[in-house]
Amino acid sequence: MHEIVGNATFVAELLGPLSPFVDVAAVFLPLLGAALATLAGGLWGLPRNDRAAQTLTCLAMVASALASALIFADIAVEGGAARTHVLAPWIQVGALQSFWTLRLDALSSVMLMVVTGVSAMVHLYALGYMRHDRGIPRFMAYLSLFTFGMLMLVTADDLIQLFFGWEAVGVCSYLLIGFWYEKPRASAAAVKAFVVNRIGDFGFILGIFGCFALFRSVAFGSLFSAAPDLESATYALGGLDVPVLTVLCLLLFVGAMGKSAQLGLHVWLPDAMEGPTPVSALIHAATMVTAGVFMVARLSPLFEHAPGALAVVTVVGALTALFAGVVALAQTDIKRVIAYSTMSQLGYMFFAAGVAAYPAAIFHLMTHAFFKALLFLGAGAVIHALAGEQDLRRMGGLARKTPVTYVLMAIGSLALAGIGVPGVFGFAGFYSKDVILEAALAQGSGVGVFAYGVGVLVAGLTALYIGRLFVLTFHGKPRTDEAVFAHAHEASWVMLVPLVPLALGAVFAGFWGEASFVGEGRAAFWAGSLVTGGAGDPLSATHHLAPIWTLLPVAAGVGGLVVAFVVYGLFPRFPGWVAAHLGRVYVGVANAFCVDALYDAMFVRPLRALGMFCRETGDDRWIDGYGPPALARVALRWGQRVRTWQTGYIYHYVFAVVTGLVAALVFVWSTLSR
Amino acid sequence: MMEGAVIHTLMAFAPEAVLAVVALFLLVLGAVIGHRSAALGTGLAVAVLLLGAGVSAFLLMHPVPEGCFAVPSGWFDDSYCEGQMLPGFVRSMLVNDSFANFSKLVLLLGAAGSLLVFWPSLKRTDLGKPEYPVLVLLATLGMMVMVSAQNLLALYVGLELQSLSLYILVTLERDRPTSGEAGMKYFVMGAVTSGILLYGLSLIYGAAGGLGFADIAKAAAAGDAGEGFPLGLRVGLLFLVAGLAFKVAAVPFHMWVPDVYEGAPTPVTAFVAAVPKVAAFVVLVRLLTGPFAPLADVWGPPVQVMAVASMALGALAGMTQTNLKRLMGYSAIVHAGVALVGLASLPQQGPAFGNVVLIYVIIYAVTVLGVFGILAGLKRQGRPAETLDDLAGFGRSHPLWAAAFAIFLFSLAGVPPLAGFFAKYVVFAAAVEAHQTYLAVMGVLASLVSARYYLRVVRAIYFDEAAPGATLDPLRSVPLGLVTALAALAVVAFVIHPAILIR
Repeated sequence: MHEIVGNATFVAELLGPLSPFVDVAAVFLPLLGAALATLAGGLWGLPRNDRAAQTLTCLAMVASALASALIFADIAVEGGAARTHVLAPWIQVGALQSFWTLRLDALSSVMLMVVTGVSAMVHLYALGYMRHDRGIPRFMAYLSLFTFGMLMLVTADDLIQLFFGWEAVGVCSYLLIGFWYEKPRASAAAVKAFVVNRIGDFGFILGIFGCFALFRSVAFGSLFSAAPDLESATYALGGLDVPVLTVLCLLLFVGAMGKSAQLGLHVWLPDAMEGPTPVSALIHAATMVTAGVFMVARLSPLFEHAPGALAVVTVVGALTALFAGVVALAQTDIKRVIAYSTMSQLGYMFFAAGVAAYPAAIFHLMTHAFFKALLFLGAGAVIHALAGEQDLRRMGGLARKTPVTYVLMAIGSLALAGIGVPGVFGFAGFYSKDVILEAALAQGSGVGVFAYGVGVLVAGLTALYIGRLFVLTFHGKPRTDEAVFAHAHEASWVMLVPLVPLALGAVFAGFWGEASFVGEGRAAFWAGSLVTGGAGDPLSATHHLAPIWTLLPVAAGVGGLVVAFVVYGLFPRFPGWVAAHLGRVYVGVANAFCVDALYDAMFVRPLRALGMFCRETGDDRWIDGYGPPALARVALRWGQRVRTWQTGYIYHYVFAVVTGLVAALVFVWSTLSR
Repeated sequence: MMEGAVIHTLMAFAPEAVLAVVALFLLVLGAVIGHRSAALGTGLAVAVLLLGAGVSAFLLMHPVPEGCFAVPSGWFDDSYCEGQMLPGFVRSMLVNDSFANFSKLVLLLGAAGSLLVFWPSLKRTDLGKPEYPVLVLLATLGMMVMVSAQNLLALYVGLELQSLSLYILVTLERDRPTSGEAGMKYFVMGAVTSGILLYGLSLIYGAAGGLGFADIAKAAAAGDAGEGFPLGLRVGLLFLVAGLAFKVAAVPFHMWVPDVYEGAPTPVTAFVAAVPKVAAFVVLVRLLTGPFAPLADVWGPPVQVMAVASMALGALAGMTQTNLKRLMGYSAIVHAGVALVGLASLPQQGPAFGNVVLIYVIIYAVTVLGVFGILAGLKRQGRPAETLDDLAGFGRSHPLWAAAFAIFLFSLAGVPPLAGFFAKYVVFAAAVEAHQTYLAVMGVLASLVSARYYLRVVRAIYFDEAAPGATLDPLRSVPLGLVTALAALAVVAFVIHPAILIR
């Protein structure tokens, strides 16, 4: 299975025959770590050992990250051979053939690197952040198990294993959001995340069914090779001829919308912030929520032939970016601001995919993973410093107390805002966001131009809300209780050290990655693992844009930051004045346009009413009243009666026998006439 | 060839002959050395029964042409039968076909199993008597004659031999009044139905001009050809069926069942509940698919009525029972009804379906042997555990025994994937195919209602707490464990190859 067809790379030569083992270890070490942490948690009466659970999961995770780095160096950096390891057959039913596989190509090695890298940092960070928690082994086991699920997702070679990983990370997300299950809000948020994701999964499953029905296969290879011939195939739906691939891709995209919190199915993501902060950083910023983007990129050879679906992806992505950017402005919870920011950035990634700039989407996914994980973990350090305070209105002036966190958060914020000097140097977000916006405009379609316009606006909003967060947290006068503020302190080194690699990534990842991810070298870099020159080849077309269009997003970012510093730093009363004069509009924005209330009124309450009706009238009154329980009562009554026939008197017994005989004789007599 | 024929005859029915000889020997032994011979006799009896089962299994695997006997010198030779036919009088009385051999195999294994169940009771002075194995052997002998009978006289002799042995077995615990009462009732009811059966035989004799199955078949065929069936044949048939319905515990000939099941010593109940049913159903299948097949319109409706009545009454009356042995009595009535449903579809399904009915009964017998086997060993503070309350905490104090017990109960209730489910399924499916859907519906309803009383027992085992200080005594018995384990294994493993029923 391990065949060298490309260059004999340094890593391949270094590892030699060990290479397949490294591949397997990268994916399965986190599973091993989770299992060991479960044992260390006191399973089967073993003594519980928090320290062992922490050590084992962290070691496994770091080892997995190192193995992933080797794979990344081999395949992505040195252009080694892509390979697929078939581990075991899974489902073999007629034409449905699914295998447990590790598909390692440029796309999955990038994802492998991002997932294991961030996960390893989060594991280490959790050592400090969760130090006083009562459920350490459980937390570490969930975290490692999540990582394993994510790795299965990104190394899948067919839709079924992709779905397996998809559900595995969904379950772990549920478990981790509800990690503090004694908090009712956390439990409710966990259930909400799971249910909303199920709605998306429903579309995903239908898409898988549809793919199997159309292609008679779920393997990516068969799908991709057959897709070009089916571009013109249509379903006849109510007199309309609907392109088959567009229907399938839209169904699959519904799944992606659920997992990646796109507009409509986004309601779970802000609530998911009830989970511990390391979870928010790993799952709800850097990795799991990007699974939808990954899926679209992975299936890009399919989406490429579904232009209608791509247009929908673009519009949904753009609207999500705008919606979340606006809502983030009015949030007061530090984690919720970052959560809406995540949603907004995912919107960017989707409209990048929608304009067929899949490499740009993955590029932004990668840079975003660095700076968003950094921001979340930094926010965790802030919360830690203020003894659990999450409300921006009760922060301020922390720069002097926590200088290291201040610097790290500054880097993350600059990266998110996309600050840089074109042609010289920029933070990570500068490169990836710019290339997305340029591609959208260069692609030339109406939706592309729309996405560009929205994207530039959102770039300004992004800088504004992250500047607001930054100023409210670190500058101005402390608005915390004096006692709390006096005790505010820098987080321990075990929480700060993991932030350093992330900060380095937030600074340099864009600079380093641009040429190979989205630049001239992209075709060689991706080596066919996703579509690099899609419809209109927007990435090549960016060169023909007038410089003004490429400068606009940066200008918006700088402008947003300046406004934030001026408004929140110099005129701290001004935002309150605006909010007061906006009145109900402001309340609406702060409540995320009341989508939750809308869903509550449209779906939740009617369904609950139906449920209550079924229970009270249907079950309690009808079924229990006239159904089985009533029959049971009748049967019992008859049982009591029949029982008394067994008198114990032998003459009664003989009487029964004689009755039977007489009946038999009567019967014979009745048959005689025939 | 006469001497040779006699010897061959003896060898043809070697298991029966050895059983008879050993039974008589044990009787003498018991008379000479008294109580001490009980264990020896039981062990010897088990050995003989297993040996007989081995011979039956051998004959089953190497089928013998009709009327012929397998001689050691020519087993695999087509011509071995030549000149070694069984004498004519034997052939007119008994047959050694594969149906008989299979039935004998089951009967012998069942009898051996119930003797093993008896083993822990050997220590009891009131029950551990030398006559116990003797009576079991004689009853088994009677049943073996029943299943191979080709003549109503042979059938009656076999039936009476097993009945008389069973009457004594039921009263064996003389010091306990209920045991005596149960035996008394069993005897009186048995005598009444025996008289009815005998009267039926005489009517058949009058109508058919002979007692051999061949004579009856001739008369029935003649009636079918257009002359109409003689009245004596019709009434005689129904009286004969009534006599056998008494043995299988079908309503309205069921009244003895709860009293005898409860009153008899539990090992005896195990034997009475499991083994004679098989013999009675074999005879029913043989008669109704053989000589009386043309009279399906005469026996069909009464069998259907008995089936419905048995299922309904057994299911309803068992619901409020708290004594397990009594409860199992009503369960027996329900199961007899289900087996009768199978019999009722024989005319449509063909004679081969008789095997399926038989396997249904065998599955029931295995299960019920397991249930009574465990009950026979179970004691609470030295007293037999017989009520639901006695079983409280069983699951905790004896997890393995309780698991087996629960398996048996679930199988009786017809829960998939246990054997009892497949058995019921095949019978009801056959009833639907035979356009007797109402029987299947009744059967399912009865299963539903009777499931309640099995589940009540399961609840008592696993969820009820034993009163403090009133836990069940430890249960350690290798023979009992062997029987229970084998029975539970059979019930569970049936799912591996249920095709023997479906076929």
